[in-house]
Amino acid sequence: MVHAICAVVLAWLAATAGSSAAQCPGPGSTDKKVVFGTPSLESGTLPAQQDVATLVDQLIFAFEFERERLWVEHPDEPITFVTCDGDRLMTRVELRRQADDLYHQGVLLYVRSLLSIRSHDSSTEREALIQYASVPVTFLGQTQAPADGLYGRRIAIGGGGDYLEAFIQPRDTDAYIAIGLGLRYADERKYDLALSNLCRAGRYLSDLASDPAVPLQPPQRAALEELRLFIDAWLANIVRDGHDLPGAETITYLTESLGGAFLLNPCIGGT
Amino acid sequence: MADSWIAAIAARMRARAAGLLISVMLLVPSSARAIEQTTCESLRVFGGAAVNVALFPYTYTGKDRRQDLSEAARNISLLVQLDVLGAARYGSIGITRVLGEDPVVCDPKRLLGVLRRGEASGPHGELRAGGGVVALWGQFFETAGTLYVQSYLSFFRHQMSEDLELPLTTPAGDLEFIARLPAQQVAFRPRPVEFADLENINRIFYETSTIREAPDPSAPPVQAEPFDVQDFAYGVEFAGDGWLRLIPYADLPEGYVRLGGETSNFLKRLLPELSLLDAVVGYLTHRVANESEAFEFTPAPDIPVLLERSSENYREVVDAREEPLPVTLAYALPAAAQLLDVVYHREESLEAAGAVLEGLDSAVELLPDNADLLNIHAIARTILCCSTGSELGTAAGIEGELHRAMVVAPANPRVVTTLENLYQLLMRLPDRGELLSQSDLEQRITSLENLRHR
Repeated sequence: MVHAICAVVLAWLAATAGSSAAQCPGPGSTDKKVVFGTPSLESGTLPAQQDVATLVDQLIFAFEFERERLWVEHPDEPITFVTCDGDRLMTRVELRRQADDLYHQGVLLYVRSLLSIRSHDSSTEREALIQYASVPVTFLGQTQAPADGLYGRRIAIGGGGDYLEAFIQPRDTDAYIAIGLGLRYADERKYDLALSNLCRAGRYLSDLASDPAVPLQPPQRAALEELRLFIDAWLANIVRDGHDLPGAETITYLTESLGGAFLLNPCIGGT
Repeated sequence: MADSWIAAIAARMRARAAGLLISVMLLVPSSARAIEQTTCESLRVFGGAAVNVALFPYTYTGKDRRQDLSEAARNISLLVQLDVLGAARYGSIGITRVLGEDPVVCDPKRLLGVLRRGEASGPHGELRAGGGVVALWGQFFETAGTLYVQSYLSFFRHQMSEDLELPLTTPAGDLEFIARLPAQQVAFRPRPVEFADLENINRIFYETSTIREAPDPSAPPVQAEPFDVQDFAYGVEFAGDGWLRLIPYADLPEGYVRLGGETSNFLKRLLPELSLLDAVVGYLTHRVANESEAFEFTPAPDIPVLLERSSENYREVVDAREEPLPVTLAYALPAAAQLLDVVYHREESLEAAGAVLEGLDSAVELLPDNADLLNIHAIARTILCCSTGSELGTAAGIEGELHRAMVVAPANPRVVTTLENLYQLLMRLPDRGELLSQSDLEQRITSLENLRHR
């Protein structure tokens, strides 16, 4: 019976997803992109169909608005924002396995979400998990520093209407996009642009970690701290290795003007 | 001493703007305010208006296609159109309400592209070079039983960079600072809408959209709902007591509509961003009036003051942490207008520059990672600090701010220019105290020149 209900709901989800064109990354597309996946449903749950429909709708809208905000506020960023239907959360193993392909398809960030609804005798527990897969962190972290690139946030959904705001924080996406851009630019030897984006990312992560309004569990907090250390290591490499190279003109100028102070604090008070 | 070089700046800018005194007989609307209605397929503007405001459709894209929401989404833009018109007091404005439901044809990205390429024309010709354009659009959406409205704003001047060129004659010679606003597009935070508001939108729409024979609520209607007429266009004059006189450009009835205080208060609560839109209109009008020759109109005399008031109205009612970029813009617009005013007209307005700095301090605190904001802040600080050396202690701080801006945006030539100008000013000071030596300054200027040319 449980399987039958799940099948109905998943079929409905597929139909909903089919209403918009799939733009999943694939071979041949190398533009830098951020992918928003359609929310998926945790398998094995016993959902109330109306509940699921409402939540899926809300998340799709939230992602669309987030995509619109990014387009409006960053008109000059060389990034496209696409949606990809029918996605589910990725495991670390899957992300590591796919990182190579996704990296070469230009994916900076994969945003996915999972809805979990469990009905008991008299109540329904609803929970959502948002997952940010930073493909460049996984791809470059495999060989250059330990970092898995998978970050998440779990939130219980109450009856109020504000949970979406707590769930989808603009600073999350801004931070992970900046990290992805920074690492890709570093890999492309565009050192100045790498410095700029990684410094920005560091500040967003600090803001995120210190914001009392953002609910972070200890493991999430630890993962963010590890990510900050990863960024710091990259920043140190960039300013050390980039000096005097093409693509590092600003780094070269600042190194020559400020000397050791710049090497110690490459974001100049920015993180 | 500072006054004297500010005076020289003003003289140079007056010479630059002398062309404005030449009257140019072009096709301008007979009224300084005009409204029209058009569709996404055939976007139109008022070519003669100093500033065009295009109100793209507010949409409701929910799956249920709720009738009341769809209707409110369609009707709200008329209320916004009349509200913007009622607030307009800067000199010359055309406001176009754009209708349509096709998500592809009405895609704001497409419509902005049409405007930016100058492909929209109207009864008074195409957009003229230097004319200001502001676009506002948005959407209604519903989540967890709460209805929201969210708006977006974009602005530019046609075929003209939005950079602020600030030529200064200083003890170090003629220096030109170049600044840019921190943003020309912003997304506002979604704002909750009471379901009763929807009824209000629709009710006020029907009340407002009746043109009457005289400025009197009991006067007979000339035409009910003329705002549903395709491609209508009216010149508008204020007729006192909240009434507007509509003067048709085409074969449409002449008459009066009333702008109620109720509409204004209602919209201020629902869409406080309209105050920021008004400030943007003021800023663009200020620039058009002083920098473009193709427009003939009489600008309001105190535009920087008026637009600061509108910016403040916006800043006061929103949470800066929730929408930092729009709030930063609300600080930067009046600051930019004041800086330009120092250059355009008011050689004695160093005090105004001081006031500018106060606002920019708050903006930088809010958004420390915006290079153009850091740059405009550094320019204002440089103008105040480094011409006489009286506040030389801040020079190191300004240098640090500019270094930080270089990290944030390495390819930003405006930041490099400001830093170079700062060093030029410092070089001329007889006593620099603990600051950089002459040879250090020379070396840095040379390095910056190299950086600029790479």
